Amino acid sequence: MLRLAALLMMVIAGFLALNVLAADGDFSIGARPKEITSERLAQLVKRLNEAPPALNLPPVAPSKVPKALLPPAPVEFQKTALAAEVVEEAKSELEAWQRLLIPPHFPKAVQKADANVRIRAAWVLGLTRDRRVMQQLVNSAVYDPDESVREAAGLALPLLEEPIALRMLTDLACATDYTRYIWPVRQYAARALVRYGDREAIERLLRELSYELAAGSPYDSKNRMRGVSKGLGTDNPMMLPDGPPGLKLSEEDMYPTLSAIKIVTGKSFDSGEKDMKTWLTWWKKDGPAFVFPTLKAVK
Amino acid sequence: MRFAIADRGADISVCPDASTRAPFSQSATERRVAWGECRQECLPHLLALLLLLCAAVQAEDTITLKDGRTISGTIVKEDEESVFISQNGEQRGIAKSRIEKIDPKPAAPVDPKAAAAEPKPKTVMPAPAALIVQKPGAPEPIVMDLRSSGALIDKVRELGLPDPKARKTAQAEISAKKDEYMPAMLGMLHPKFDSDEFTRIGILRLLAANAPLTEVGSRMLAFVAIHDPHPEVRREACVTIRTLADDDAIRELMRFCQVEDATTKKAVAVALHEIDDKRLLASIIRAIPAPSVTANQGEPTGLDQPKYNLPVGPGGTKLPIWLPAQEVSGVATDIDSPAADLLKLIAKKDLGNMPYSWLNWFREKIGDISQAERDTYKEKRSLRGRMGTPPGDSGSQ
Repeated sequence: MLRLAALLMMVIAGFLALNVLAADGDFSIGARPKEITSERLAQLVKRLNEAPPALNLPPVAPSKVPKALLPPAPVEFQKTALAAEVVEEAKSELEAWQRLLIPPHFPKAVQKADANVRIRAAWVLGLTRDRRVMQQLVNSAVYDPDESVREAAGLALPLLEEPIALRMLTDLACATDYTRYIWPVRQYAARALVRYGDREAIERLLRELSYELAAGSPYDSKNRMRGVSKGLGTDNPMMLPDGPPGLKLSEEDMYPTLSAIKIVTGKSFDSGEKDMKTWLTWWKKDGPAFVFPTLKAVK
Repeated sequence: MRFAIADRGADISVCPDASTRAPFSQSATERRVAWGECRQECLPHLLALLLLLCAAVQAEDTITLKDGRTISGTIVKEDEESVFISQNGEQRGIAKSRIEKIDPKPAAPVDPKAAAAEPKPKTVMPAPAALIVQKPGAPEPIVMDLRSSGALIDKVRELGLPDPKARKTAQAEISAKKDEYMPAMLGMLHPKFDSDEFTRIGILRLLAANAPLTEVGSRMLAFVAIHDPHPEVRREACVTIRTLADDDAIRELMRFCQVEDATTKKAVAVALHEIDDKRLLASIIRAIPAPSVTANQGEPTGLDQPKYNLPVGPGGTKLPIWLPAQEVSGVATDIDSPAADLLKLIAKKDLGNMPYSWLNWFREKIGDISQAERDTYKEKRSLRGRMGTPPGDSGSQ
C-alpha cells in the first residue's frame, strides 16, 4: 500500500515538474496548437452560407482565366469591401478556414460544410495569397467529389504564385502507380492543370512523355519495348520477357502521361500518337499560339 | 544501505582533499568528487589533444584536378610546370595545366584556452559556422562568419515568407546587394544550416534570377539537387540547373554519378531525370561499354564413326547417322556497366546493356526518329545487322 502511495506521489510530482518546465517556456511536452472549436467552425459555415452570391464568382483576374471558364458577367470580387473583410478574417484564422475546404470523405472534414461553403472557402483562401493553403487547395482541386469545388480550387491556385502547386498537380496527373492514383484522380489533376492555365505544365508533361513513350512500353502488348538486348552477352541471357504478361491494363493505366497530356492540351492524333516525334513536332508548330482547351463535363 | 550512508557522511567530513589519497582506498563519494575535479582540469587538455589529432589527420594539401578528381598529400616541391606531392611516402608530379585549384593545408588550430576566454555569441548557429567563397579572379577568398551575420540571415529568411508580395520585396532588396548577400545565401543552402525548405527554395529562385553563378554557387546547386532533405528543394535546384544550363553544376552531378552508394545514385538519377539534359544523357550512353563474348572451341567428336545406325533405308536397310559434336565454352564480359544501370534508373525502363539500344531510345526520346522509322530500318537492315551488330561497326562487337 505504501509503495503504491509512493508511486502515485512520484507520478504527481513528475507531472507537476513537467508542467512547471512547460510553463517556463524552455521545455514543452505535449503542447498542442490552439484547438479550433466546433462552434467556431459552425459560425464560419453560417457566415459563408449567408454571404451574397458575389462570393461565388471566380476571384481571379479575367486575364488569368481561360476564356471558356469565365462566368457570363465577371465581377472582380476581390475589389469589393466584403472581400477585403473576409480575406483579412481568413488570414488571421487560416487553419480554421482550411478546415472548411477539406473534402467530405477526408479526416477532419467539417460535415456541415456543403459544396457551396467549400467553393466560397476555396476562393477566399485563394485571395489570401498565402502559400500555406497550397496543399489544401491542391487536395480540393483533385479529390473533392464536387466538380464546382474542384473548379474553384483549381482557379484559386494560380493566385498563390507558387510553381510548386503546378509541379504537384503534374506529379499527380502523371503518377505511374495506377493502383494508388486511379484514373479519376489523375484525370482531375489534369483538369486542374487546365484551370491553372500555365504553359509550363505542358512543357513538364512533354518531358515526362518523352520518357514514357521512347522505346515502347513494357505493359503494352501492341507497343512492346524496342531494342531490348537479350541472349548471350547481355544481362538477360535467358531471354525472359520484358514486362508482366497479360495484365490487360486500360490505355490510361499503361500511358498515364499520354492520357494526361491529351486532357491538358485537348489534342489527340489519329496516327503516331505514341511517338514523341509527333508531339514534339506539334508543340514546335502550334506551341507559340497554344490556348488551353474548354473542359467538358466529366462523364 | 544504512552503512553506506554513514560511511559517505564520515568520509566527506574527515577528508575533504580527495586528491591526496590513493584512488582505490577512497570512498564512493570521494572518488566521485575526485573524478569531478579531475574531469574539470583535464577536459580542456583532452579537447586540445583531440583538436590536435583532428588537425593532424586533416593537415594535408588538396589538389583539385580539372577532371574533378582530388588528390590529398603534402606538396613538397613546385616549379613552373609541375607540382610535386607526397602521398604515403611516394612522390608524384602533376602538370599545372591539369590542376584546377590547390587548397593548402589549414592553419594551426586555435588554442582552446584562448578561445574559451573569448566571449561566446549568445545565439549559437549550427554548422556551417563559416563559409569560404573564392571569387574567380579575386586573390584572397572571402571568409564569412555566419554567426556574426544575423541581420543578413534574417533578411534572406524573408525569401521564404508565405506572402508573395513580401517575398518579392525581399528579392528586390537582396538582388540590389547580391554581392553582400551571396555568401549568406550559399551558406544557408547547406542542409545542416537551420533554414526551412521554403527559404531554401526562395534562395534557389534568387540564384536563378541572378545568373551566372560562381563556381562555388554551381557546385552548391548540384549538392542541393542531390543531398537536400526536402524533395521540393531538390526539385527546385534541378529546375534552376535546367533553366541556367549550368555546366559546372552538371559536371558536379556527373561526379556524384561515380559514387557507389545506392541512395546517392538513386538521388542522382532522380535529379538527372528532372534536369533532362540532352548532352548529359548522350554522354552517359556513350560511356556504356559494348559487351563482348569470347568462345573457346574444343576438339570435334563423332566424325570417325556413325553415332546411330537406324533401319530407315529402302528395304529395311540400316542408314548410318553421324552426329558430329564440339564443346564450346565462352566468357562474356562487360555485361553490365554503371552507366547502363544509371540510365535504367533515369529512364525508369530496362533496355538492357547494349549501347545501341540506349542510343535508339535517346533518338526516339528527342524526336529524332519515330517508331515507324525505326521499324522500317529494322526490317530493311542486313542479316548481319539483324544478328545484333550495329551499322558502321567493324565487327569487333
